[in-house]
Amino acid sequence: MNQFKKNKFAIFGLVVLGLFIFLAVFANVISPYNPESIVESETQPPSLKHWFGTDEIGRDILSRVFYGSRISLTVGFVAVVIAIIIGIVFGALSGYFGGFLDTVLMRFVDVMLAFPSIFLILTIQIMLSPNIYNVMIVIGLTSWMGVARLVRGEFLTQKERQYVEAAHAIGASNLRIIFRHILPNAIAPIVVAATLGMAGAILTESALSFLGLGVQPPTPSWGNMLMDAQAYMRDAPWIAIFPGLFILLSVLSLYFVGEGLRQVFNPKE
Amino acid sequence: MEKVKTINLNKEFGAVRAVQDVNLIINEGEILGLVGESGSGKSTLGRLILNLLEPTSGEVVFEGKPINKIPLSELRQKMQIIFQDPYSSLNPRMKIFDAIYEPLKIHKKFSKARVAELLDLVRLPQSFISRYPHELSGGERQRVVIARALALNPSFIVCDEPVSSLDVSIQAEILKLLKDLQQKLNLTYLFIAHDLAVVYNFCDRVVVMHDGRLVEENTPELLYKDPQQEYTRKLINAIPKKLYQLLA
Repeated sequence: MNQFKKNKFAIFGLVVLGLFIFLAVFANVISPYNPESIVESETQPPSLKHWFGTDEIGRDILSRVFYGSRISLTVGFVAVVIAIIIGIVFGALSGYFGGFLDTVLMRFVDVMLAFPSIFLILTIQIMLSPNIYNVMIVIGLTSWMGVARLVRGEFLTQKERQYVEAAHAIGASNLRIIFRHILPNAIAPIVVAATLGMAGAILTESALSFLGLGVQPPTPSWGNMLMDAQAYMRDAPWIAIFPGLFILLSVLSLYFVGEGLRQVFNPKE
Repeated sequence: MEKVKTINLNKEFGAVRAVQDVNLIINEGEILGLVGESGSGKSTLGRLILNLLEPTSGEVVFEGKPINKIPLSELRQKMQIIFQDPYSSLNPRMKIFDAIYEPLKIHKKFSKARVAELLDLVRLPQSFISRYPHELSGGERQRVVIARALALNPSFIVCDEPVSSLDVSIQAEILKLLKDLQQKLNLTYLFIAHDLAVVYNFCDRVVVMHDGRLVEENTPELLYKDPQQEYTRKLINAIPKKLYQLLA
């Protein structure tokens, strides 16, 4: 823990993330305007009345960014939870049982990795109706492979440890050994992967929404705010700058926290 | 009475024949020493007897029944193992209470009082239950491992070099504890060791293992005085001179 505290980047990341989570949770309380209603008749630059200005149809950008953080963080979190669960199941079965099952599961992972995932996501999103729930599920279903490989590696090393044999000796079931013994000892790298994965998921959501296949207007997400802004980049750059800045800051913070945790768990590096 | 008997037991790992045609009898209530250098197959033999490994051929008979005919849950309760290295045989993320309680939980004998009883039995303070293994010394950890092994009231225990990784001063304490427990609970031990010095005072009978085969068997005294095999002589010569004079 002390080592984490010494890492200024990690602390910065943690503070920013905490702030964003606060904004997301209390968006309805702290936003000065309704994010979906038109409050000005024209696009206005940042001012005291509208700190981040108003967008192309006169909505308050500050409020939209706050509400957008709800969408982006939720999507990122849920997508990562899905990815982690699938990754743990695949990795644990593969690493623990090995043999034929391992070969089958890992070849499936290879196949999944061979797809350019953004095209896979786009295809699925076009076939399904693009809404926020599909976005979470689709991102989760296409980003678990790294976790699976990581968990498999951890299980391969951990299962040779003597406490696993000791668990066999007292008659513990395979399920018990996987979940009560090996998984708690493999949790550190999984937490790191989850942090970095969440950054990836937020970026993917932004990219999807930017392409119009993610969160649908008028619900604001950082990604679709950027999409709306592209036509006005020259005349009203603030429409793009603020959601872009929030994407940048959240992803950067998650990376900093992830790296900080990695250092804590692997003090040798 | 025969507690454990192995009949033409063989175990191959690929091309390596770790255990070859082993016929071994362990009598009820005795401490049988199993001695050999690293890689001689003694740990493999211990694991075969516990059914932690499947033999390539041959069979293990426990209390008159082939072990593959005994339900695994019953077998796990009746025979236990104490590992060499208490640093790695305890799950680092489990508190001492959970480590000792786990075998009871698995076999549905939910008694928290039993955990307290076991701590007394291995002479550890009750306050240890909320600690993690890394907060304990090697000797304390080995006592936890012993408590865990005893939780289900087994009658036969494989001690796989239980003191090899401990400081010499702690070794004597743990050996004393094992001996006391053996007498108090009427246990049968298969005591695996890589040097003859440890088993000398501890075992009733000693078998020597070399390259997967049993090469010699005797009481410790006779084995020291009159070794029949070149290999046994080598093992005896490996004991430091001073210690040897002390023993003989």
